[in-house]
Amino acid sequence: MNSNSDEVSLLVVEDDDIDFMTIQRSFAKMKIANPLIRAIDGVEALNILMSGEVSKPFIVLLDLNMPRMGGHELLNSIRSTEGIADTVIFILTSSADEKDILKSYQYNVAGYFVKEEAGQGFLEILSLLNGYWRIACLPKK
Amino acid sequence: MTYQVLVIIDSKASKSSNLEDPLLFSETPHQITSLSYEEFDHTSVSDDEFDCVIFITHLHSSLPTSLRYSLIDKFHPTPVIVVLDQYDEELERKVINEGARNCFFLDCFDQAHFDYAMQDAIRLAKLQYHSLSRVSKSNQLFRQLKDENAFYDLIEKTMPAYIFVKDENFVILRANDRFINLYPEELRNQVVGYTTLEHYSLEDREPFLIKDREAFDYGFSETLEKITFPDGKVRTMHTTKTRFDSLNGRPHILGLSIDVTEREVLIERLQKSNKDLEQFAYTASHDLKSPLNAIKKLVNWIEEDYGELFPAEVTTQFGLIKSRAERMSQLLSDLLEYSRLHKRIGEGDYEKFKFNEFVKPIHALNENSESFSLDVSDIEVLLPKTALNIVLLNLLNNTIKHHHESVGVISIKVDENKSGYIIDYQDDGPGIDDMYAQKIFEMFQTLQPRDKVEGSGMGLAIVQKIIDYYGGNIQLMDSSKGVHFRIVWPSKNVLSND
Repeated sequence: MNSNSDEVSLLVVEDDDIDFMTIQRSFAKMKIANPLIRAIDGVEALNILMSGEVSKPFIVLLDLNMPRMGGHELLNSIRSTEGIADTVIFILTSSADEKDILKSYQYNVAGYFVKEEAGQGFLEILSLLNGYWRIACLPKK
Repeated sequence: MTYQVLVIIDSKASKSSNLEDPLLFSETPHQITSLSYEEFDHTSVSDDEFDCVIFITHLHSSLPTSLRYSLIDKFHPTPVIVVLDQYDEELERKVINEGARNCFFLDCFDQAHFDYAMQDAIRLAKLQYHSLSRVSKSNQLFRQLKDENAFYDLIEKTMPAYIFVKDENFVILRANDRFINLYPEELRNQVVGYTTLEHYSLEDREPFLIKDREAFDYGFSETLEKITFPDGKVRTMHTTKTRFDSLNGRPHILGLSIDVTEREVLIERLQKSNKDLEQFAYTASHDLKSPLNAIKKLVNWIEEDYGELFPAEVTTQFGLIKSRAERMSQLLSDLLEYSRLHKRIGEGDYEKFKFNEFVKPIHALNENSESFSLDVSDIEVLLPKTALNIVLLNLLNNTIKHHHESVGVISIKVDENKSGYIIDYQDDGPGIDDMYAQKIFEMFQTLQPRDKVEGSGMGLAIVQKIIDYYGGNIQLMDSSKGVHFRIVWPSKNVLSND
């Protein structure tokens, strides 16, 4: 068991307020106390990552379709930038397009989730993430 | 066969010499028309009426010799035999020289010899006539040929096609004006007898030769090519090349090129606008969904957090908001599916499978399907599975959803014919009035208020779109009970038209 599970932060890159609220509500519902940080698009997310604002260990939950800088673009920047290239990233998007899935895994994402219309599916995703950071060893430096 | 013989008697001669009819004892079957010279002079006798003319005259006839001879000329090519009363060697020679077939003398007359000479003359004349008619026949054929050539020249000129003939070395042997006019004026006398390849770009040249060779090797080639012509115009051409053997036994190819630029441009535009439309429907239905989902979520949260505080009326209205949101979501989902149908069925490959075994699991997907019995043809079919799956799922779903009883019977009969399959789908539900036979296939059409029976009204539109895609059709048939759809689904070979 990872003794630092409580310290793992979640950086959510999501342009939609309600989608972010969904995550917040689900956190509350499942009584997950881990820090939750939000970036509204790829540009903001990159700034946060570069500045080291979020302390390791953390994981990123990334939306694909966003204004300014979308998910694929951000993935590309992260993987080619020294220091943050090892970031653990999960995709959470409404796109079930085969091409989007393939492209994401080429950037070594840890998982790809399609946003469900109903709330129940999202709780499952969160409990998976909750289990993930409790069990998996994450880069700390 | 009876010969028609015209006997002309120099009357003065006959009176003074009492000439006897030389045919009186002839054994050759014949029919005589007898005229005196004077009578003959005043009647018109057509030259093909008689097989032979016998001219009986007197050695010392008062008729001028020249007149006698003109008579021989007059009947040409009908043979004329002159009969004189007395033998006269000089006169005989003259008569023969002037063209009489023979000359006889009554003072030394031999009936058998005369008969033979007459038959011989007739036979000879007929032979001459036939050979003459053969010549005129070949003249006629020649005229016909000229006519036909003129006709083909006209076709070559007026046909909206570029026509050319090439030999094995790709040299142009013949071309119509339209083809030659593709070249600038100063080059037009260097088309026939040349390959003209140097007037085309390298990228154009190679495909020409490949298709030429293909035609020489296999007898035929066909291509759609974009060509930059020597006059600078860029056109899309549909070209066929057909091999044929020339008169000297060498293989040539006949090229026929039709300008399809406008057609291809239209097709391209149509394809693009179709694609745009599909993209629009996709984007619209997809993008409309996300704010709708947000609304649905917020409504849920409010209910979760404050539902207990609602007055009864608000609870009801909240239920209505949720059901309408759900309906809109369904409409968008179906619209999305409709716009992505072509993508989903993809190439829509035809497969061989047992029809009844295929239908059962599809039926089982619908709620309450166990209360509806299925009667399906036990037949092996060759049809695209994915597409047929969507069609049947929608039809079966409609039957169960709209049925007025809780149980029912569905029959799906498949008949195979030369051009494909006829699928008769019949249920025992409430049926559909004739007047809606067209409307039911339109998008978003429902026959019952959505508050009574939930539905997007896209089901049959989707069904029709799929069947259209495969070149078939579906129609509502007259039925005493329930609904009867007839689907005509062409087999693959009918569709691909080769």
